[in-house]
Amino acid sequence: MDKKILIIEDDPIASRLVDYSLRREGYQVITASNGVTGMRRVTEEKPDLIILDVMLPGMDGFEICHRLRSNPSTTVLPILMCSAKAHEIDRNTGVKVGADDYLAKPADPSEILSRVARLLARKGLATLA
Amino acid sequence: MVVKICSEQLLRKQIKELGKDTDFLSTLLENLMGHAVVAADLDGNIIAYNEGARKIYGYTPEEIIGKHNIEIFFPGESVTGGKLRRIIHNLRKTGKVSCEEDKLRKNGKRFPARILFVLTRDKTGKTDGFIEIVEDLTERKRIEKRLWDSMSNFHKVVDDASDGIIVINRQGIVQYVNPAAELLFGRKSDAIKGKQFGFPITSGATTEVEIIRKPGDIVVAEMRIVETVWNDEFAHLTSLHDITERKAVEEKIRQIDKTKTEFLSNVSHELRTPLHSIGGFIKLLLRSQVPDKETRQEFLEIIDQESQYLGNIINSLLDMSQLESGRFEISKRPTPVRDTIADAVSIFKSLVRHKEITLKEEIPEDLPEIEADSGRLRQVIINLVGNAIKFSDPGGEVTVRAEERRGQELLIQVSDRGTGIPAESIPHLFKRFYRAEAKMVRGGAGLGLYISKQIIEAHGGHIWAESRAGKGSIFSFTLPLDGKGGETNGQEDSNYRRRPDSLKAC
Repeated sequence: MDKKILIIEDDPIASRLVDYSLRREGYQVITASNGVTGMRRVTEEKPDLIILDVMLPGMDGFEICHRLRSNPSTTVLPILMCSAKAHEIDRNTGVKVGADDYLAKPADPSEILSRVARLLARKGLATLA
Repeated sequence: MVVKICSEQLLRKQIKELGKDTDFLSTLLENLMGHAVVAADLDGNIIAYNEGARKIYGYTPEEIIGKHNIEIFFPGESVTGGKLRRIIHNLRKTGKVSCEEDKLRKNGKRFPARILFVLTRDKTGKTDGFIEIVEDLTERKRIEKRLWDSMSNFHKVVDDASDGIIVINRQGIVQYVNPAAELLFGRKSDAIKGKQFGFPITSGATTEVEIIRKPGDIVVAEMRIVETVWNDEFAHLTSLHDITERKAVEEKIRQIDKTKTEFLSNVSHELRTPLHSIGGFIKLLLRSQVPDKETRQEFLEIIDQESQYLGNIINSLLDMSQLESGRFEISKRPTPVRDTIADAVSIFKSLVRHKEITLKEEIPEDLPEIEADSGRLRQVIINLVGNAIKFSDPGGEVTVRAEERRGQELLIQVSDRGTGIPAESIPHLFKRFYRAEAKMVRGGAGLGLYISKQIIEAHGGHIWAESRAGKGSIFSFTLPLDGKGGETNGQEDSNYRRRPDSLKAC
């Protein structure tokens, strides 16, 4: 299992924790600390899933998500959106811009792992069908 | 019939003797019970006197009839001054005189009266006397005065009312404007009266209206309209209560409330994030999920760093709570500033290495000692250097420099080559809860610079910021060399117990 996961998160410590937890599960992990780098990594690395923070300097998570969904090559790329603003409005916006799942921050690594596994499995099914 | 009293019988008898028209007189006497009716001959000698007259004047008929002239019912000056004579003269010429005069009761008291004099004639048609019918106006005058007083009281109340009062007729035309309404509209009554009232008229409802006196000069008023009668016609009575100030205060309170809510939300986020990281890494370590020794070391360092970060936020909150309650104090001792700066800067050694930032110190060897609270000073420097590092990109440079200026003060500056601060943010930097980059991770609680400012000012110094977009920022502060100004050694000097300026004006 060497699925590639991109973490777009500006807090290096939060990013490190998720990064380590995912690697332990055998995922390949790449990180980006802002939207511009994140978008570039998507093109270069073609990840299987993105863990996307909402609050980012410059381009925020909603915009990144919207852009990815507007691009034919990333329309179905699984996106797990995370935000410290655990408000319903953020969840709704997240869903509206096309995120597959939404998680309130700070989230437990175990929770992130299970969501990631579920999203990847769903994608697998979709590809089969 | 009650009127049939002895005086009347006496009157009838006498009238009969005089050969007068008894029917007419009896009718007069019976129907004018509330009036004093007196019949007299042409010289004014009284020949008849009714019950009403007894009540009004206080004399019994026996005391009067055939014994007195009508002069007895008039005040002295009316008689001596010839007023009464003139009235009788007039009466004989015209046959009828009506007037208002003061009259006199038996007890000597005067009273206002309406009088009607009518000439009487005998059967041959010859003038033989007159009848005087008197209405006592005392009660009416009293009521009129009371009415007048209450009217003028009413006018006074309306004139002095702090609320604007406007009367509008059915057609929506302004009929009356009180002085308070003139003030509200910024126009004289004459400029409003007769004009259409500009606001929708809804009886019974309280509405909020904005009165634009002139562009930019807007008064907010609470308007209440009730139905009334004005000059016998249906009208609307509008009262306008100026709530401009209340609105402004409400807005201010709303702002403060919003700031506090945002602050709480920021702070809880700022506390939760590091706490969560600490928990996450500790769990990995506890479950022996980090076999690599170097990674274990890395995680322990992260935990250490995060708990320090948490500690800093909590210390800021404690400082804040002291500032808010006016218990924030500094205690000054001779302080080698050079050492304090070096000590503060040293804690960033590993962080700058990690972020690949160069941290420079330009502190003269001979920097003098000053009276200061070294712990608080250290706190300010840590805050400024920490910010400079936070806003610097890898490869950046942060410099701490100090100099003695004009033998009067120390100038300490922390500069970076980071992204700089937008010009519009600079005036707000030292305010409570202000965060220039709200979206930034680890934005802090927005207290650091505010607390730094309080500390520096408590030392009698100043703190300020300069920045150029793309070039970086310089944060500077001064400390007086003589240690004067600001707080002295923990003394209870109320001048230096700092209260946040926000309590005065937010």
